Amino acid sequence: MSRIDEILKEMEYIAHHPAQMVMKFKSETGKKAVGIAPIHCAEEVVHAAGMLPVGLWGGQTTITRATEYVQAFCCSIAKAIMELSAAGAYKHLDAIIFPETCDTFRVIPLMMRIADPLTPVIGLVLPDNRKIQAGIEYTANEYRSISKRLEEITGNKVTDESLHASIELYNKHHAAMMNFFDVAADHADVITPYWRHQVVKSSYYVLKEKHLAMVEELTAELSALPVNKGKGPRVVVTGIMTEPDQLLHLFGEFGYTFVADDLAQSSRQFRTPTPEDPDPFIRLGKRFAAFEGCSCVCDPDKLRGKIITDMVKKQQADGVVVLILKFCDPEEYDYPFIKQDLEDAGIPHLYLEIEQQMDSVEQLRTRLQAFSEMLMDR
Amino acid sequence: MLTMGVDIGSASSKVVILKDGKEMVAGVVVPVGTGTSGPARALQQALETAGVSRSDITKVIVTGYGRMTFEGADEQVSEITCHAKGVHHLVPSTRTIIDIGGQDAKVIKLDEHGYVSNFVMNEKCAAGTGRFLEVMARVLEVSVGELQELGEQAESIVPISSTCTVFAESEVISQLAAGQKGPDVVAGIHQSVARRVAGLAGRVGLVPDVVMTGGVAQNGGVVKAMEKELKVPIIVAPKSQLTGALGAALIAYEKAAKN
Repeated sequence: MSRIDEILKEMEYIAHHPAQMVMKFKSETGKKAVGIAPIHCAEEVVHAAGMLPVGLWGGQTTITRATEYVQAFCCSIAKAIMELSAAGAYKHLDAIIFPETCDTFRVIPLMMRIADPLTPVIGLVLPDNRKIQAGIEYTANEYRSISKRLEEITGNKVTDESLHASIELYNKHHAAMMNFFDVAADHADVITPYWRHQVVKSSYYVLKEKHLAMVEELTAELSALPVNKGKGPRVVVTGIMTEPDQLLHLFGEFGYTFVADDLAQSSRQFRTPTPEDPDPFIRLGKRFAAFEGCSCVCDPDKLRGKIITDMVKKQQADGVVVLILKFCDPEEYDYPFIKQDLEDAGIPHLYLEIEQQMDSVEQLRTRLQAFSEMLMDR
Repeated sequence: MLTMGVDIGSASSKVVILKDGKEMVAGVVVPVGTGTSGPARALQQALETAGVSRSDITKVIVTGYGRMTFEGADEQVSEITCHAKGVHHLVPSTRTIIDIGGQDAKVIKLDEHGYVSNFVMNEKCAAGTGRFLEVMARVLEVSVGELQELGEQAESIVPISSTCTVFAESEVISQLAAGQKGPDVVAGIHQSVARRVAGLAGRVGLVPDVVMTGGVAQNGGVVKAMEKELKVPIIVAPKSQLTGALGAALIAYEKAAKN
């Protein structure tokens, strides 16, 4: 087994065993773990408090109890988080931070407190007026109050020094991930959509310093290999996520390479560096102000279509796959703008509706195959 | 050179044998689809019609919903690419294809050279498909083939507002129970299919000439309702059920000729 295979296998294991990773971390270090719901929670605060931030992105669970708490027409992530909460799957977490990302997410923290009263859930409200000075200060104060709540619950304190240090580490990790995406685009034979996702997903269940070392080594090993652009379509993917695994395998089956992404679970987490400021909380507020192109963030200028178009041009991609998570209102509202921008730029795109709990992806097979044939015929 | 296209749908199996990529020497439709004896029977009948054996066929391409499980082909290609190829061959001026099959409704946009430039399909739901018409025909105690004739006798249209096939079925039952005339309800059913597919067409943008294919294209009532809804004339593809298989046979010819 090559070193690349070893790293990828380790990442795959991490990505598929979040609960085990949390328990292992807690037993080995004696430290605490805090759940982080998508998507603009500034997990640096948790890291700076000496705890493991754990991404909560739902999961491929069977939905039964979730509908006791939320409507059936909630997105997969909301339903899965509710299901796992009701089943006590988050009991190893010492707290959970939950932002009001959208209308659905607004009620989830309340319901989680009912479903699992023993796990504290801390709400986070981020502003629409995020770019003005008052908005930056408001965001900084929200993150500050989270650090205080975490301290009350866990006893772990965040200092300015520790938060600055965590921000620097995260900046480094995020840059390494963006670099990995660029290098991976030139190694389509090794980094298929499935493996690319394992690299991203594993970042949510280990400390960033460990993940950074793995990604840097993987990228270095990949860079030493001959360039391989693949024989299939080279696309940019946008949306919330590309789960479940079956969907990723289907992309792989038709030879797709993800040359860049605009996924909430992936590059939207990594692409905006945290700017400088003497106050580390203001730094995080400034980052939220600087962030562009997310359906869950107020954007009067509707820049997302342009951001995606620029990715296509930079990577010379063949097209774009828009993955709409079923019942995700913010993504559905963004789609007409993205569609218009892509059509104006003459970039072909495929609209695919997905669910994290899809047991069968056969409905999507024809669409992905036809889109691949369409791109390769051009 | 002989090539073959096999199109295995959810409701029927179609086979076309082409000579030199031009002349259709066999075109067979068997009205049962994937998971039945349909594909094998259609293949056998096509070979018999053409008077040839499987070994005389240079290349076979399979398409349609059942393409993944059919073992007698050299390659499989998606039905979207095949329909585009087949329809463009029959009607070169085609820019938009509306294909309504047993459980799929698709709208395919072609560029001036006949290549697919965009497409949309119905989402996980039988509304606006052949299956919708089958369910409604059963409630009305007629065969699908009789729907057109019945619809022509309509004096007015009873609108069917439910999108969901199951809800629409109970809506039709209650309309009939309320004393609405069968033909008027059929006109409403045709309108319902047309409206559903018109919504899909709007997403890719309609460019004439518009050609309709698939089993449902044989129902003139739906075609008329669609023309009214989309406000454009619609050409019904000759051999509308065979366009996918024809496209597959044409692609098989092109691929074989390249080698």
